[in-house]
Amino acid sequence: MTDTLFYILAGGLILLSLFAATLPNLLHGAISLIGSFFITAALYIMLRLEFVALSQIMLYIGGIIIFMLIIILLTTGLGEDDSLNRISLMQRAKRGLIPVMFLSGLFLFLNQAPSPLLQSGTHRGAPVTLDDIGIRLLSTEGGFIVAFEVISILLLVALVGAVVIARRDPQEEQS
Amino acid sequence: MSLDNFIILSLILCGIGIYGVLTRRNLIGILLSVEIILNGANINFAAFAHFRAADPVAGAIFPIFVMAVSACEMAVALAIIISMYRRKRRLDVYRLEELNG
Amino acid sequence: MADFIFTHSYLILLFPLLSFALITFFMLHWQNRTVGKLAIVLSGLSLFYGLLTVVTYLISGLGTPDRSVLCFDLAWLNFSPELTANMGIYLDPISVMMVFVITVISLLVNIYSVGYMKGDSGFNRFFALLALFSFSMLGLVVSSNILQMFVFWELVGVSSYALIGFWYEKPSAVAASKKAFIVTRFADAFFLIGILTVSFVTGSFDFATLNNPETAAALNKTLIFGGLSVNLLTLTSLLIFAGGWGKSAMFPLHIWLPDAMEGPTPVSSIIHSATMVVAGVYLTARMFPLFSASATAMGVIQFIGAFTALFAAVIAITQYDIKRILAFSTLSQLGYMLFSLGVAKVAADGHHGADINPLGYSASMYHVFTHAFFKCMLFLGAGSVIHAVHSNNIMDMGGLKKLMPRTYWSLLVACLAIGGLFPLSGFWSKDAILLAALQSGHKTTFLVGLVTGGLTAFYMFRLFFLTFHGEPRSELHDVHEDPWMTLPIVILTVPTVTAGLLEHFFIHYVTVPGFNEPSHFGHPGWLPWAATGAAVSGIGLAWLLYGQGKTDAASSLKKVAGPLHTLVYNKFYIDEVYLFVTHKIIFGGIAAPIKWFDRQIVDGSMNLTGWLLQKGGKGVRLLQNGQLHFYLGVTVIGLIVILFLGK
Repeated sequence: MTDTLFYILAGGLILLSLFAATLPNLLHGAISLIGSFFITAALYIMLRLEFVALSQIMLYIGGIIIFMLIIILLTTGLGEDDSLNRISLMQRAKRGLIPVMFLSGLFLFLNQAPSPLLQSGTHRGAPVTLDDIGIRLLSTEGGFIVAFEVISILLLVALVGAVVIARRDPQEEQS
Repeated sequence: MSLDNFIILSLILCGIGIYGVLTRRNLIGILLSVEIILNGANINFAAFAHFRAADPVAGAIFPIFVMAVSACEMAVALAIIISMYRRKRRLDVYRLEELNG
Repeated sequence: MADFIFTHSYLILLFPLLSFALITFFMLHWQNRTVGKLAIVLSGLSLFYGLLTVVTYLISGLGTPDRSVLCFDLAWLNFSPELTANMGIYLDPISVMMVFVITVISLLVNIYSVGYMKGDSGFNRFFALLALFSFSMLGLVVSSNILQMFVFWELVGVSSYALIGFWYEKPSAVAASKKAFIVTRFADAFFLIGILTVSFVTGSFDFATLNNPETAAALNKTLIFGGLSVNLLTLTSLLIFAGGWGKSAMFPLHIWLPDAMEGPTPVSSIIHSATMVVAGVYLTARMFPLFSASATAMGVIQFIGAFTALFAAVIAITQYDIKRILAFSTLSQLGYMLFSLGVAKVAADGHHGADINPLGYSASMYHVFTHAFFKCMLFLGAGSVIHAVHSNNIMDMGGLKKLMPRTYWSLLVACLAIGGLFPLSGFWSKDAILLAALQSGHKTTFLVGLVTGGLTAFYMFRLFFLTFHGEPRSELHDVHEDPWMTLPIVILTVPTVTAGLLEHFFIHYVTVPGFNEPSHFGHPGWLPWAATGAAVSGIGLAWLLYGQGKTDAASSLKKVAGPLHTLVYNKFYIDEVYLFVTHKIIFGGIAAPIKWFDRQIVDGSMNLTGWLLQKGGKGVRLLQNGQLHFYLGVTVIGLIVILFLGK
């Protein structure tokens, strides 16, 4: 039952991601990315990581993608990609070879030198509760408080930087 | 539903993302493809946390960090896009010749 | 009371320093009149406190067993527990004498400069530097140890550099100041090596320790340098003396002194009388107990002094620049002072059984004292004349007797004094020097001194007659005597005339430390007559040749002498020899190949590295084509390569 569900979800995810990466109209691409993120959230729930699923929906879909949609609408009308911006089929095929080589390289690598982690016996973890994550995130012993704070600062810096970059130059405004 | 399935799924997503990054000429399109790569990585984290890790909480925390970092990245990238759009009226990466050395 | 005055003797140094600091930092753009007054007042205060110290010393200091007072001694540099350098003020007969001379002359030169520098754009700067100069020289003479002395020694060098090059718009002044600085620095390098050597052996910088007979005994050992055996005592003595050699401009390092005339005349005056050049003599006197232990060192000092005395006197005869003549006469007189110190070591065949003749030392210091006043006076007078005539050449002068009567009479006194006529001060000091040479058995040196005395009288009166007698040889207008300038000259006649009274004082009290017993040397009665005879014949010859302010007889004589005159007039081509050595041999022979090596090999390898990096950078730059897809693709391909490598 779960296997079937997984295959269906995985197929949908791959399909929607493919759309997101290739559809000429960016608006369509972004909307299919929303779909792929929903499916990812469903996979997280299957992996019993409810909190991650929740933040996937809230952060990615509610924040990042919506933000992106606004930009697409702001800059390219209804997301219609200029035909000039296309890349020829020949080029696409050539460039497609690169990820294919990358993936085959990775497969080869994993088969040649399997990580012991992959071999170790399966262990189905208990569901991860919200309390666990919160306490772990902010605890000083064995926790992630430093990473958490660093990312906080990074966010702040990025915010300030974004404002600085996107601000109009005074000279530009005059002209 | 096993770890192998998830690894293969995340690898495929990563490949799709790379393909998108390499073929999109629009900056926003490239950002969309980067999100696909990150999504694949997140799925991988989650899968390892579920199937293998003695400490699943750490595996759950990592996707959250990735999301936070990608939010930062998105904010800066979109600021760059806005300023580039203002200057060139076009988001074509082939127009970014001033990045050359 | 005495202790109080001694404790605060640093005030002598403090006033000139204060003057320098105030003018430099606050008053550089004030009115000249105010600055001049301030400089004179502070210089006067320094003189006042200096006199107070001198009197106190005469009352209470002379009575102490070794006639010296260490006013204070502060720890200054602590190199190691065994080796510390102090900063102190050390009063003994010679330093007290020098303090008196320097403060008096400094005040008079300050007064004179107000008149001489009137209207000069660098008026304030001049007074600041003059104050620094006095400060450095005062610090030098009262130093309690040789390292402190060296510090002030270099300060004297720096301030003289600034003063000689005072009119820095003139290229010749700049060249002269550089020459003075480089030549004295060259000598100072040896001085420093000497200080290091002697402090290494003795573990002390203090004069008290260095002049201890035990130090000389400790140094008296033979070292072998690559087959060359050297006595360490002689070596260090000569190294330390080398500093004085350069500072006192002894042959062959004398070349800077005539050129130093490029500075304003008050500077020449103070350099030649109280500061700078006598520093070398002072250093030799200060280290005398150590030097005197080495017969070789004393021999060198004596020879160099006597040679320079004669050499400079011969050159002075042929010169036409009034200040240069005076400069060469200073060289000659410095030679006197040095060989006088040298003859204090009794000659090997001396039959008196004594090793040291204290009269040489006393006479030298006595000559420093008397010479300071009449030489200062001569320069100030020459400055007045130059100020009036606007020329340095004595051929452009003549007939100034009526126009500048006060200067005329004062300079007559000074010329008689330097010529050595009874009863003026120069007679007594020269007589003492000659007597010392004779007593110690150095007959050649004695003869050189006697002949030089005659020459001195001759060239001084040549200068005097050509300047003041006869008819003006160029158009003179607006000749006047500035009261600011005449006053110090007139004041200086007093010590010039009366310093002869101090002879007994010097012989009895200014003696070599540790050699207090009176000498048992004979006193030939004919000596004063011989000296006076030499002087009078010199003056008489000058009168015959130039007495009427005419030069006909002299020029015909010049024709007869021909090439000899040219040789002497060009100062024996010593400057040219220096130029040849420095330019052809050092620059051309040593510096040029080194330069070639530096340019071609050292720089070349550096340039090659830079060139390679630049070319490499250009190659790498091509990869930075600005195409985002290219970057991303290369990144992924790089990952792939790593994967395959990792396999």
